[in-house]
Amino acid sequence: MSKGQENASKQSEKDKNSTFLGPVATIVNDVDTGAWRVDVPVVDHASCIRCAICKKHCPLSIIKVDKENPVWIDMRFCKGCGICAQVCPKGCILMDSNIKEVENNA
Amino acid sequence: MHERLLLDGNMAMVEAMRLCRVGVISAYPITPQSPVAEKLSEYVENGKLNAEYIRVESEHSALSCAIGAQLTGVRACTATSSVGLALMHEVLGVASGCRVPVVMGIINRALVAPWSLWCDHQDTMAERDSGWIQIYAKSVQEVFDSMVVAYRLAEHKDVQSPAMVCIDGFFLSHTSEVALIPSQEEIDDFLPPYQPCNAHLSVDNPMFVNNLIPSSEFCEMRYQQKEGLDHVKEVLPAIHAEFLEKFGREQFTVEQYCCEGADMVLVTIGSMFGAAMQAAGKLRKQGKKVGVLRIVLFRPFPYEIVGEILRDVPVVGVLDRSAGLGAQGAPLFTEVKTAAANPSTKFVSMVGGLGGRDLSTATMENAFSYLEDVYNGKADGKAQKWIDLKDNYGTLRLKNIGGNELCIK
Ligand code: SF4
Ligand code: SF4
Repeated sequence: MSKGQENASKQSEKDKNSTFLGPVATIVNDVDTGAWRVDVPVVDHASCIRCAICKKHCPLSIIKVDKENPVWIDMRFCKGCGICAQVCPKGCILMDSNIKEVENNA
Repeated sequence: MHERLLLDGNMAMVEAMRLCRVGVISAYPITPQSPVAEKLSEYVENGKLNAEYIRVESEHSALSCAIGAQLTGVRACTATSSVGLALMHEVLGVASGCRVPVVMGIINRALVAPWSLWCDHQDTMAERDSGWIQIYAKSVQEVFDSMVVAYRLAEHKDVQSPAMVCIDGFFLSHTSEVALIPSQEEIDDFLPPYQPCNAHLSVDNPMFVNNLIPSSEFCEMRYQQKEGLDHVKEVLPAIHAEFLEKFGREQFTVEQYCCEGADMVLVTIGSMFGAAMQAAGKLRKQGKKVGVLRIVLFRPFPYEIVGEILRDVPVVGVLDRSAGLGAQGAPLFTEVKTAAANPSTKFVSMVGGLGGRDLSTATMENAFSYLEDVYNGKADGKAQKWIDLKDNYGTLRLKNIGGNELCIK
């Protein structure tokens, strides 16, 4: 079992005195799914029409699309599955396997 | 003040659920449990019971809903039988593992195949290691009493485990007897409103119930469950004592009839106890030292008490109402033999009353006469004894009836 899995859900320290029995998590931590990524989605903002189809399909719900700002992906969690690239009607997301480091401008 | 009512086992179960103020009911009808589901819905409809009734599409959902509901802080209830219980199998473990003290009524019915609507215990015996408490009732009155006791026991802070009250299909569920039903005040006095003391669903204190548990904690959580069930032996006698004081009726973990100094004891479970006592009473008058023991609490199994009672009994027959296929003995037998392991005792595994066959006084007399043969050395008692098996079991369906012989050439 991976460490990430173990850390994902834990009993909170403050509950030590009144312990819950059985499988219950009172603190739910983030799992760093971005660490699994091989390919990086790269958005061509110029041809993006902000239809938000990518946002609807992203299995992690980490794509932000609104009228004012360019499409934004939270790279801490993007696992590089490429679903967004598949569903984009404009074909403006490309999965790049050469990018090693990404800056998360969160 | 109690009321004297003519009730069958199903209605006694419903009265108990109503008086124990269940807040959510999710039940899926199945013979012979259907009257329970129907009566509860009638009570919700006419306002006699202030509860939410969820119409679910299967037993799997019925128990799932009950667990979810109970986690919000109400007594949730459901009831089922046979294949309905089998369909709940996965969810039974969720209730016990998450320590949700649901109390469920089980109207015992045989499992397929052969398809049957009638009583035996294979449905609940198949779930004996699911982490649920199992109580087997002998009479309509006891159906009611066991339900009330089961809520107290399951919800006890040291137990926190779900409970099944098992009642023999038709023999108990559809047979009417006079039962004493306490008033709402009396029940309220015995059973306070439900207080969840473990994981629960609350917007003010969110938590994630039944998350994935790694091997570093799984074993410990199982051990917590074991400990919860272990506590039953300390907790239950106090509940029984309080019940006796409040309602004047003794409740049993095991019940004995003439076991002291007996040469032969027949161990029974459920409603068959009556016929066994009847037969034993008759044999006692003939000077035969026979006794009957009834296991009321099957899970957690009261092995210390059973071991103590049977310690010096030379011949112990255990009559199971389920076959225990492929095992050395049926489920009750293996428990009793392990509990009372005395090298000089002869243990006989007996099977009877399957698929609704009546365990009559005559059948019980046959059982005792076989035990007597073992006692006198006329039979070794090593093979499993199917006490009401017909000799023609091998030729029930002849192949040449209806021209079928053509098919088998
Ligand atoms: S699906 Fe394509 S076009 Fe639509 S918002 Fe996402 S990136 Fe832009
Ligand atoms: S690659 Fe997958 S995870 Fe990453 S943004 Fe696209 S759909 Fe979401």
